[in-house]
Amino acid sequence: QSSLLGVCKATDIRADRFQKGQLIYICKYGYPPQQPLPGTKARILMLGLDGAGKTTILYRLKLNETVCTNPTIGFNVETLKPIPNVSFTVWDEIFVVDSADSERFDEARTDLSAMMGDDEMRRVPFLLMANKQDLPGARKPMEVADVFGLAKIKEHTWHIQGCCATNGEGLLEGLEVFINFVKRFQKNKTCQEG
Amino acid sequence: MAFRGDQSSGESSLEDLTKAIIEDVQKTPGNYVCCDCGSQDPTWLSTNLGILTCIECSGIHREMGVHISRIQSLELDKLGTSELLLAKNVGNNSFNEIMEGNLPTPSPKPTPSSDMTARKEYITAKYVEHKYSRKMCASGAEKLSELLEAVKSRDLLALIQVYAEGVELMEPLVESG
Repeated sequence: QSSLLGVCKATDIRADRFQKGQLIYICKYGYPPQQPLPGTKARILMLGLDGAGKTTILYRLKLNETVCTNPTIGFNVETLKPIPNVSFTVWDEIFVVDSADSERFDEARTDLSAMMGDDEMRRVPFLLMANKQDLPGARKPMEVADVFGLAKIKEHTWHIQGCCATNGEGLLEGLEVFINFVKRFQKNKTCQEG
Repeated sequence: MAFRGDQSSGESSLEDLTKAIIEDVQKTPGNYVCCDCGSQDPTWLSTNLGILTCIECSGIHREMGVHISRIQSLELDKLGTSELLLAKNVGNNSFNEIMEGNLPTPSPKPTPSSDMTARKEYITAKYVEHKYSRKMCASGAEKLSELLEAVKSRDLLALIQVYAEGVELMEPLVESG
């Protein structure tokens, strides 16, 4: 069992997902949610505006090195090392924001709340990565949380993590917290269903 | 499609307008090739610098951070008129006349086949260090008076010139007298 991490531009999502009101992003690229890739169970969707650092985070987690990335057209998908006892639901979500780009906070916040407001995302925990903490003018994670109004969110368990994808700082810490959320979420879900 | 006179209502006419501006920007001399490596038909716009680059060079621009360059796609993003303002008024030729006004020979510029390391080295020197830029001012005081003059006369290229000389454009202006 391994986990699958997909990366895409928020604008790609908007096109298919919100206009039709359905979560069909993964289908579009050939991985229908009902049929996971052979040998994979866990899936994380990493979302965020263009340039937030999703691809850089993905390859930092995968290879532990900084790759020079071009804008991602479509998406990237990588399998990561198995995480014991965790099988992610289809829509476990990491949302990445460029902490140094306060001009686009509003746009990012709108995207995040649209996704979290979706019926299929009900109660699903999410991780907000406040990336690019190394750049001048980067807002601290708590400031980003304020701007995003996270304190008011009651429907979802969330965690905000400051990070820097180019040197890896904060990534594993954030993922660890997130994985615990996912474990707890699934346990509760199983209890309710069973 | 050229910009038509018979503008229909609201949104579609605004869409036509941005489309016409984008076409105009792409037809500007110098914008046929990437501002940094010379690749044909660049479609990535630095909205705060007003220049076009190829996808590879745009990757390096994004890596520098939005305080240096803010990259959007002419084809994939939905751009507003404000984001196209600098593109319409600057362009690769005018920008490079200043920012590459002092290129050494042989030229350190990357080519369309250069790897990411070579691009990164050049782009960082050009945009972060302003290493290849044309210098016109002898002193700091002269730079500041040029800045004031550029703002007063609303001259974008003069602003880029003082930016090239290392003046911080976010600093408050000091008006003498």
